[in-house]
Amino acid sequence: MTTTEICAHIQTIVNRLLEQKGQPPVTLTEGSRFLGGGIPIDSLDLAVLVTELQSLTNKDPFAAGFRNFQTVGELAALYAE
Amino acid sequence: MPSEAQCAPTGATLAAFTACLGDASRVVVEQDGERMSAGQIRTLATAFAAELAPLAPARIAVHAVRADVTLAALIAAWETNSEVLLVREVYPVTDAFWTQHEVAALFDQQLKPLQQWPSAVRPTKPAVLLTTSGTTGKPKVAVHELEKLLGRVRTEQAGNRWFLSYHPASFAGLQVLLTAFCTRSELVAFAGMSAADLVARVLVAKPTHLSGTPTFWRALLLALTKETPLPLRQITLGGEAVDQSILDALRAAFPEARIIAIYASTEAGALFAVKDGRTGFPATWLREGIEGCELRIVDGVLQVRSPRAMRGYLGDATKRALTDDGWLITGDVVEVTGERVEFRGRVDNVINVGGGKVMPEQVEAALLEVPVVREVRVYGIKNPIAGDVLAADVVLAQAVTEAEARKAIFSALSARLEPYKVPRIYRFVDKISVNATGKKVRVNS
Repeated sequence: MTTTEICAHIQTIVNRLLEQKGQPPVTLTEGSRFLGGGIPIDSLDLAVLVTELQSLTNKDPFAAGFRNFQTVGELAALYAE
Repeated sequence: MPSEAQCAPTGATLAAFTACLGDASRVVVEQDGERMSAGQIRTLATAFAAELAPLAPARIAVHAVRADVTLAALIAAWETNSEVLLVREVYPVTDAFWTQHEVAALFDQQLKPLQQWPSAVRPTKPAVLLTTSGTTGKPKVAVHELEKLLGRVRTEQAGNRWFLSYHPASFAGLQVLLTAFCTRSELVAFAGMSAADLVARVLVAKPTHLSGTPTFWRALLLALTKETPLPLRQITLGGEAVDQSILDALRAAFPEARIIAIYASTEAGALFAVKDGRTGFPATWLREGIEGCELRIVDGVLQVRSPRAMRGYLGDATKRALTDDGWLITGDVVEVTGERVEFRGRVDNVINVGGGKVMPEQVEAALLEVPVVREVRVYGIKNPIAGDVLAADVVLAQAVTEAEARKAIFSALSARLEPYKVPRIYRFVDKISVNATGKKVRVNS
């Protein structure tokens, strides 16, 4: 999958988490920051997002240890081919 | 009612145990639809005792799948002063398990000999050996004296019809088997059946007395219809933490039945029963003891001293279960809330979510109170950010969309639990699998 395709999946997963919490959907760009950037998700939502991306792509970029990311694009790049 | 604390030594005795075969025509076990009389059990036990005679007293193992065969094996072991290890599965005869535990002979589920080993162990008194349902590797073996196993069996209520929902070689299954036998009741049993199939058999067998895990009872309530009423007079719950929603649902479905939550384990034996229809137990028992047991809480975990505890594990594993001052560590996390001690779950089931400790049992109990939820399992998924993220497999009770269900569940739980205890991942499934002891299969991935 390309970075753009993964960004689309991130948007879907984030909006499902928001809907679960009873909050309105958001539109994300590659530059959107996850935490402290206006998206009403917390670190546990972010953790869920990582778990969901791992099962979607069958890739575990964190297998060798934690890797820092702040934006949608940075996270997507970790899972892109 | 007499003080429960004085009841411990007044249970059934060994003499009363064998006397229960007195009336040869009485039906003792209905095994897979076949009615077995006391005379037939006697014949089976006598033949098996004769087979054991050249070895006895010895430690033998029996693949205990059938209730009738298990009963005959227990009687024969008692009469030959032998120890009988009841196993739920048979490892290859070349497996080190048998020689490590110094088993002299292994018998199959029809009591046919499978293998003999030279063994140095000469038991001095009869005992029942049970395997613990360990989650990893080979099980440990707990040694119980038959007399102590009978310690909580009351003989007053006779002539009932019991149904065996547990494996006969599990601690709970053995308790049901012995209780039915010592109260001269019939025991309906089916060998090697899944929990779902057993539920269907209960509806046909119409027992008056039934003991099961909360998971089993939920499945039974769902299968129950007005066309299939059950004549239940006693409902016993055991094996898993009991939640208020199942107690209330059982009370509503069976307003006349006695509802009892039994607290027991393979290691601690049968400790005590809670009969007031509420979860947990009265905090006064911590001070006063109950049914001969002493209870204390250390580091949030219940410890007990019981006259009915196992003699020990075979081998040197006993030390790990006991404190230096001889208390048994149950592994059950408890919390005192006012005048009640509530069970929160098993120490080994703890899930670490972002540094917060989550007992899946507590979250499951909360989930089961959400109307759209029929059955549930909560587990952790390993995660690089949070340690574990909390997930729930959910069987839905109503025709709602998954999005609606997610929203309903999340808002109901967020109103009650700390945020890290609310599952973020939901998978909607058709059923939740249970293991041979009727408990939910717990696998954290």
